[in-house]
Amino acid sequence: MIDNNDKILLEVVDLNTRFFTEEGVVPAVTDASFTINKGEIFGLVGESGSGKTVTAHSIMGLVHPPGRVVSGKIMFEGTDLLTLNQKQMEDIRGRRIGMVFQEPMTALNPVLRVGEQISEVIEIHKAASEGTVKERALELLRQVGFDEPLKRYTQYPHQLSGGQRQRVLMAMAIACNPALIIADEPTTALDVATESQVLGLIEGLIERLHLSMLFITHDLMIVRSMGQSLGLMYAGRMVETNRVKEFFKKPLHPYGQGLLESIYGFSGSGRLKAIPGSVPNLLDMPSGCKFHPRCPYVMDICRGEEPIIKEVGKDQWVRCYLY
Amino acid sequence: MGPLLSVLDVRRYYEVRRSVFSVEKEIIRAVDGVSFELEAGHTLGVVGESGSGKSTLARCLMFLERPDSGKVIFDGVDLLNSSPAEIRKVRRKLQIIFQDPYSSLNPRMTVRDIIAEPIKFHHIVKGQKALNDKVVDVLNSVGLNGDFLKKYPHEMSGGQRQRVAIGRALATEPALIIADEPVSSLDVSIQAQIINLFIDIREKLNIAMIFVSHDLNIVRFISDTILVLYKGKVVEMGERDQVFLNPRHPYTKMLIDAAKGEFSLKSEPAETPEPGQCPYYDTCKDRKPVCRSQSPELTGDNGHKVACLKGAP
Repeated sequence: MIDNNDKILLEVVDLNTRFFTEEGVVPAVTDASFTINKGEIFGLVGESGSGKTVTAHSIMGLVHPPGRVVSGKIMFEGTDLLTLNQKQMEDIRGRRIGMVFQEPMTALNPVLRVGEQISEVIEIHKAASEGTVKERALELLRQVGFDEPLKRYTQYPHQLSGGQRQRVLMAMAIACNPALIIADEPTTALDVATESQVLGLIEGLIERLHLSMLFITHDLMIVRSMGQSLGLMYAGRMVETNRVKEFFKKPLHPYGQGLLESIYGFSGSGRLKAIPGSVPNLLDMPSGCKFHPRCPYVMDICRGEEPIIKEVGKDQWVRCYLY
Repeated sequence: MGPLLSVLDVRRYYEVRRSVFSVEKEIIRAVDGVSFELEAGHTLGVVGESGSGKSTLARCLMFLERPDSGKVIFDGVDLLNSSPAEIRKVRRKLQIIFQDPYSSLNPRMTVRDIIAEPIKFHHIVKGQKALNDKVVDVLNSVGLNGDFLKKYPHEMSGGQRQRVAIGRALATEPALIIADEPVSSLDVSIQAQIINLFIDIREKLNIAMIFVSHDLNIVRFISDTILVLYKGKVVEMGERDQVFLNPRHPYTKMLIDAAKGEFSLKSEPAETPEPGQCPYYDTCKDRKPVCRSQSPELTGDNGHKVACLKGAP
């Protein structure tokens, strides 16, 4: 891994994030490790409660009490983000790491014009000299696909459609030429047609501006259409990281296989191949491999100690005793 | 015998102000002239995005909303022009399942009471013993055992709650179930379980279903017939395989591509559609000058109809 160091933008090593609640300690993320290369879109996939959003928040320093990152390393451009204080982190957030959230209406200020909000980001991080802030904001609006940036500049968020708001957020995210953008379900609230547009826009921007992206989604189809690598989370664990092409040929982890089959596969009787059982409660988890109660290949060893994640091929890691 | 359900030219418009202070009003055509028929035991999949009118259509069929015009004939009864007594007679044969079982189930009732309520209300069985047996039967038919009788909704997972909601609908022995996005709020790995449950129920009990969803993949597995809604209008309708293997409307094609993970980048759509043009004109890849001035009618044979000037045979 040392020889391709300059390819790697973000390296997360054994990240553990816990929430200390009255009902007990919730292990939201356990021993998660993955890397994002420069210029790539890394899709982080999992069901609700699998820990994908908490992983993103851990990277951005946005885990608030009762939650806390308890151990691990998050190496970004040569710095371990977990060693930074709040002020240093604020500087990185927005300037080097941009963010796009799921619900654009709540991420934008409803009483400020779109242009003012973009300008604010530019001013805070001094991404343009004083006289050129507005010019830069207009340019950003053009970059995210608005034909009439001047009109958009003076509009309020409620005057825009969901897809347009999401594009304004993209403009804010790229305002300071970040190296990484973290997008948390950016298209989940949108229609299929609008979703296509926003995804197309994101892909174009990543390529044109040589950005990297951590793309969080529950929708495997999106990752298939636009990611290069992916990480699959289950019950707070990273159970597989793989190249997108390889994953869709044959996922390594039985959970990944089950997910793909439950979307695509008819079983013989005209039924879908469902994964039996349900996602475990994080406060009451099974022993050993957290997927073993639902796994068709379960062995005795799976009920004992939890497997560690192993490298089984180039950029292919899996947390399973089958390998 | 005619079809179980006939829907004829149903319309539901809403009048909204353009803004809080505006006197100018805008008419939203949520459902704009929808017609279809459903045979007993068949499943119709209604597909569309948010704003396509699919939920309003479902609500119109369930008397949760009164259409402005049109006819809904269920089991021989004209639902919009009948006395409450006549409607009550057919009401139990028509059940609905909502998207979010957490808000559609009463949090202060146990599973037993939730399922027993409609059985008692419609006098499905006589006597306490028969009632208890019926509740257990219903629970078993949705894949839950007697342990669940005393549970409250918050003690169950999303998938289990949706099973209870399905059980409550089955309890009155309906002829038609309308399910509005019944798996959208569930985890991907649970969705397939619930869809399989719907397929089981349909096979065992021969219940007709209207399955409303924005997700083509889900509708595809369960439906005999597919109806594609766009801005309140039916743009394509036909047998499942006809629609999936040979889609004729560009909007249907786009939905199918998106469901396969093939997203296409398009330019920014215009904001206000002009009257008298094809509703899909602004976003259509295959549009022609004529589409701007003419709104297409739904044409074709019963196996496959499309409302597109280009796709029409």
